[in-house]
Parts: sequence; C-alpha cells; structure tokens
Amino acid sequence: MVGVVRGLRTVHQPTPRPRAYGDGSTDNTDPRTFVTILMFDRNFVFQDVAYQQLTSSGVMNATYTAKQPGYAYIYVSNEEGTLRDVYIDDVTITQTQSPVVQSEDFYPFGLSFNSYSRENSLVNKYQYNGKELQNDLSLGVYDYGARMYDPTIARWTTIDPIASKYASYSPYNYVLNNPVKLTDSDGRIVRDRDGNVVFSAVETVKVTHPSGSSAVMVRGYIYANDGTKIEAYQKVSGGKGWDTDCHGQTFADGQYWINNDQVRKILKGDKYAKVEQGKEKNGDAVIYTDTNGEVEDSKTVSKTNTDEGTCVYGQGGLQEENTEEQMEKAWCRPDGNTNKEIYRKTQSDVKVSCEQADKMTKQTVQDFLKAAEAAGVKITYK
Amino acid sequence: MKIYGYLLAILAISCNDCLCQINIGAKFDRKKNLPEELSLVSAGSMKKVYVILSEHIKYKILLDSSNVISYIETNDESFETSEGIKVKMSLKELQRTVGKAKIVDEKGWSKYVRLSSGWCAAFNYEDSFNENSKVLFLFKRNNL
Repeated sequence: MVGVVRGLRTVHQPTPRPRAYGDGSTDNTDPRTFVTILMFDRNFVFQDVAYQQLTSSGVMNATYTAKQPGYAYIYVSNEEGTLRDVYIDDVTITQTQSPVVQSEDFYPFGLSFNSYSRENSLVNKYQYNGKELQNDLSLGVYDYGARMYDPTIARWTTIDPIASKYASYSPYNYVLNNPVKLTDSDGRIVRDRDGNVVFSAVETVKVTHPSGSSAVMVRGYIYANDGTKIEAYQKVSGGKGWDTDCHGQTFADGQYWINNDQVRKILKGDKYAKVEQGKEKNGDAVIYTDTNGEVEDSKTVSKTNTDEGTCVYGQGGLQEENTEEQMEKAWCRPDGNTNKEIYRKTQSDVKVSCEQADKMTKQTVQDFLKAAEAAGVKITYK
Repeated sequence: MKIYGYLLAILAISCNDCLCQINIGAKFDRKKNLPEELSLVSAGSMKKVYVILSEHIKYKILLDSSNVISYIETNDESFETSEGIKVKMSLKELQRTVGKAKIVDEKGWSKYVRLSSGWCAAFNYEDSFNENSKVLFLFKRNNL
C-alpha cells in the first residue's frame, strides 16, 4: 500500500531492503515481516528510511518525524526467504501534523521559494512585507494600497503616483532598486530600514530667486531619527544652484534643500550634542547664527589643529561655491559678528553583555570608557 | 460723481496697490487674495512672500506671524533708494555714488553692498563679479 503524507502521487522508486532483523540481530526467529516508511523530498528524491520488524507481540509500529516537506511511501512486506504465511491486518497510518502552518522564504525583491503550507489549513495571504498576495488568475502580485507589486519582475504594475519625486528612477522601480536597505509601505513612499520616510512629497512648488531665476521643486518631508518631520525640498528642474543648500549639505548628504528654521529640529531629532569650542573633531557640524540665535548657515568640520586652526567645508548649490575655509571666517556678517555652535551626533547606546564584562580587566574598562567618552557615546550603568 | 466713485474703487482693487508704508518693522494690513509666491529670501531660507504694488513699484514682502514686515525685495527698475541706487546700475556706478563699499558674499545667494538707507544692492552670486556687474535686486532685512 502507498501512504502519502502530503500529496497524491503514486511512487515508483527502488526500495532499500533492511539487511538485518528489526532489532539488528541476525539470529532473530521472528518472521521477516516489516512495516517500512520511505521518505522522499518534494522532488521525489529519496531522503531517509524507517522500519520496524514484526515482534512476538504481533504488533509492528514504525514512526518517523519528517525533517522537510515531501512524501512518505509506507508499506508492509513479508520478506521470508522461504514460504511462510504472515497475515497482516488492521493497518493504520497516523499523521501528526507539524505545528508549523505555513512557511515562506523570500528573495530580496519578494519572490517566494521553499513555500510550505500545511494541508487543510487556511492560507495566510499576508506575506512579503506583510502585504496581501493576490493570486487570482495566478497573477502573484502584492497589494500595497496605491499600487500592485509583482515580485517576479521586481517592478510595480503601474507607475508611481509621485513619480516626479523620484525623477531619476523608472516610475515602476521598487524601493529605488534597493530592497535590502529600503522598504515601501504603500506603493508611494520609500522608507529606510528604521521606518523613517526617505522623502515624502507633498506638493510641487515654484521657487524664485530675487534676481529672477527660478526652479521647480517638490516640497516634502524627511524624518529625523526620533520621527520629527523635517521640511525639505528636492529639485525637479532648475539650475544646479538649486540642488541643495548649506543645511542639505551638512545634514542630508547634499540630497535636499533644508531651510534655516528646520536645523534646530534636526539637531534635536537626530540627537546632536553640543561640543565645546576647541574640542571639535572632523565630521562635527558647525551652525552659524545671528544675534538672536537664528540659524543662518551650517558647515562640516573638515580639519582640526592646522596652522589655520579648524577648517570647515560646505555650502551647497554650485560645486564651485563649496569651499573649505577657516571656521572663524566661514560666515561673517558685515559688522563682523559671527556666532557659531558646534554639534556632534551622539552614538547609539553601547550594550555590553555580562559575559563580555566579566572578561574585561580594569585596564580595558578604563580604555573602553575613555574611547566611549571621546566618541561622544553615552554610557549607562544598570 | 457716483460713477467716479465706483471707478476709483474698481481701480484700487484691480491694481492691488498698497498705500501703507513699506518698511521693515511696519505692520502690514494683509488683504485676502494677495498674490504670493515662494522666494529664496536668504541663502538657506525659502519663504512665502507677498507681491504688492506700492506707488506703482512692485515689491515682495515677507511677513512674520504678527503681519510685521521682516523682509522686502524689489527688482523693479522704477525703484530708487535715497542714495540714488537703482536696479541695473553697475558696481562701478554704485561706488561712484556711495563711495567704496564693503561687499558681502552670502554664498549661494548673492553678493551685496549694504547702503546707509538700510537697503542692500545685490548682485547675482553666479556671475563672475567685477566692477561691471549689475545690481539685480535691492532688499532689506530686519536683522541687517
């Protein structure tokens, strides 16, 4: 007889025969009658065998725990070399199902493989990124809300409703072709792996320079690490000077235009800590303010301890306007009044396990604390 | 007489003319439907400004939350500062009028000369700057 754990195939495979008796002995007088379970994977490749010989109690009981989805070929046999009648009845096959109801593995762009779904169970359709798989007509697309996504070709089936925001990408692209770092919650907005919106477009606006030149920009938001909304602009068309500004250069890798009034929100949201003047390091942000403390400019420390003192870099806009200059002279009002503040982005909390801590000598602890302090890392003791 | 009155009223509405004093710190009585646009009012600040006509000169003004004027700009060729500085005047002509003046470089926005009247004569930041560079616009800010 054929017992199929999952599926409905009749199996034709050479069946390995047990060479010894069920208990491993060779002088067993019990009949050479067995119940055998042959295990195959989903491609009918033989994987394993379990068998049990008939004992004097008259019961044969073979069990096998499947290690992977596939098929079981179960049979009883009388393998006596000489004619010897053995009567077998009341054959029962019991399958205890795995507690795993469904499992899926995914390629980075969402195509699933190694799919497993326990028979007779309700299929969970909410799979890749928790989105519902629409498999009617075998389409295999995910419903993201604003659009349908086809993981087979790693593309959306329709264009991006805010395609103008991602002008340098195909309007069908999925998460800017970087599913490892970025996600998409609804088919419109790309997010980083912390869930922060990379850029959320609000509207397209025209901006003019007092001289008369103008640019078309998308006004939108980026998010600070604590979720604070930061208003930002991204150029759609216009001269190169509209690409980014000093704050976009300092705080957003030159990707956006950020207004003066957003800088304090960034400093707070991204957990920048104020650094005493004279203790600045490369990479620190310098903001220049007016007499009321309003931010007017920002730069990044590029050199310290030079003959010229500390140097800063940046401005934004045209590349030829981006210069390295002395921190003291970088932003100077006609009356020579320059106020500046230096900030450093604090690191994430450092967690040391008890096991690691036990291995630390007094010296390594001191070195660790010293390095942490220099890096601006906050240490908390628990 | 009544007809003249109506005509005057229509004229006043159509030209958006503002007879109030346009100056930094002055309270501005903002009418509804005043034309507005987004303007780069400093190197790192895009703000919504209102376009107004005052004595036939076009200005753009920035208002704070109390409707007080905090920034004014104009590139209207009819406008002339009390020193006699106008748009399209060269740096050479400007210096002849007001003397040698310090040039402030607000990178990414403009190079400008601060005038005694409180106005600043601004040149474009992109152009190579020399004595033939032209004044492109004039502006006033509350913190200059």
